[in-house]
Amino acid sequence: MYRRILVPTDGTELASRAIDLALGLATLARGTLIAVHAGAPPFLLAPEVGFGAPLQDAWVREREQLAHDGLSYVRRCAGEAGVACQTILVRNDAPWQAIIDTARDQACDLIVMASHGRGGLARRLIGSETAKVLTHSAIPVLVVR
Amino acid sequence: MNEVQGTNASQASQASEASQTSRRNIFERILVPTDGSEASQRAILAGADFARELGAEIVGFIATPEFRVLSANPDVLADTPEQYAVGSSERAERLLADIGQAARAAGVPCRLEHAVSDNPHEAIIDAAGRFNCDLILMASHGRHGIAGLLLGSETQKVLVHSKLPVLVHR
Amino acid sequence: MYSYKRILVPTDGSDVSAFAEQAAVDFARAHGSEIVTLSVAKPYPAYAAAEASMAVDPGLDDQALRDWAERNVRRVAAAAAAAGVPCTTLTVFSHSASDAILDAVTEQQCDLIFMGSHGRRGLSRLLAGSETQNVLAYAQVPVMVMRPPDKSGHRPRP
Repeated sequence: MYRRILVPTDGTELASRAIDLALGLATLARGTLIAVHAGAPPFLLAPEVGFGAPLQDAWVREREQLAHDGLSYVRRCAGEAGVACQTILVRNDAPWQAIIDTARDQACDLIVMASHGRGGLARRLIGSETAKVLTHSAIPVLVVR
Repeated sequence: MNEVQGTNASQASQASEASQTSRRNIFERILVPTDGSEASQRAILAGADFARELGAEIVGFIATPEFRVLSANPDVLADTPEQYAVGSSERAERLLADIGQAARAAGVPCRLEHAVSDNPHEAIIDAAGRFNCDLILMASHGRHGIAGLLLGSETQKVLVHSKLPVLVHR
Repeated sequence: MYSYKRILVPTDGSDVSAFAEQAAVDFARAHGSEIVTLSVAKPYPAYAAAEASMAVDPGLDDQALRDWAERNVRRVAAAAAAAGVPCTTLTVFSHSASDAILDAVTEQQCDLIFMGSHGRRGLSRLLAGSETQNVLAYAQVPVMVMRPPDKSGHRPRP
């Protein structure tokens, strides 16, 4: 029934349950898993620092690696489960928008995502990005803890 | 800027032939609450289809409010508590029957439950626990349809308080 | 040129952490920054009293954890003092070290994080619950991930 399943991942273990569930559903439907990492480009978070600063460069590289590692993980899990998989990396200062756009561009019929990211003092009862995806999605969203 | 990578689909589908024989039940019992709205109707149909694919059962559920002596609803004012209870119950049975019908059409086992509660989200989560459900499937917006509400208030509350996964259907 | 004013240095008492702590102290001295160091102790889960054949005194465990966290931050404070770098120490109980770290960044108004990483880059054994990953994914300030040289003495390539 749901054959093109979108899983947003933040590169951390928070996405684990969503990934497992999405894989299970894709296996059942012989469908395709589409994993998207939508991260805010780090330099947008500290605009007063010059791009060239070596510290900034190191930070950007670390975050990019985190994103790639997260997507590699999903690709590996999908391969082991025998599920077709696409991975997409989007740089967008509104991750929820990137998720909605990717769902549309990839003709997905379901989004499976975690209820929360993290955010220190900004933690909410439902993660802010999840809430925004829920508000704007045109397709069903499966929210997992 | 996007980077897209794919895996070889034909290799994947060969492997998936083998994995079909050891299918596990991802969800076994789905709670499908209704409030009689059109959005609920759509969620019910999607829920029945999904349950069929999964080999799962459905628990259809509705929560109706308590009787109130003072109410903005003129029908309620005209009722005695007994009359209200009967009227309310009849409506609930009709709405639950819709779920039963959708489940039968999809060939999915179904039980129907009704609770009296002023807090639908609490009643929904409670019912999911009582009936050992492993998924809640509900509409993004319900009957109240307050203009501009980004996500239905009861759906929001279920999402906040539920420990189970929630599938939010448009 | 931007100068980082308050650097958060989480510590878990490990050798990996020690490497990052020293790097943070050196950086702070060079840039005239202050350090805020934080050690997060995870409380033991509560045991059902009826089931336990040996009653565990939760007070005793809490104290041991507190002492452990104190030792960790004192190690950083000593290194900072030796370098003439102002240092604030914090110890916190939390089930999530990364949440506590992210909270501290905001509460203490830090503009940079220096932390160690126990994982090696490129391993696909990811999503194993690394605190560094969690902080990296959500911090609103730069995170310097310090990996100590491997046994051969080579620094890991970025």
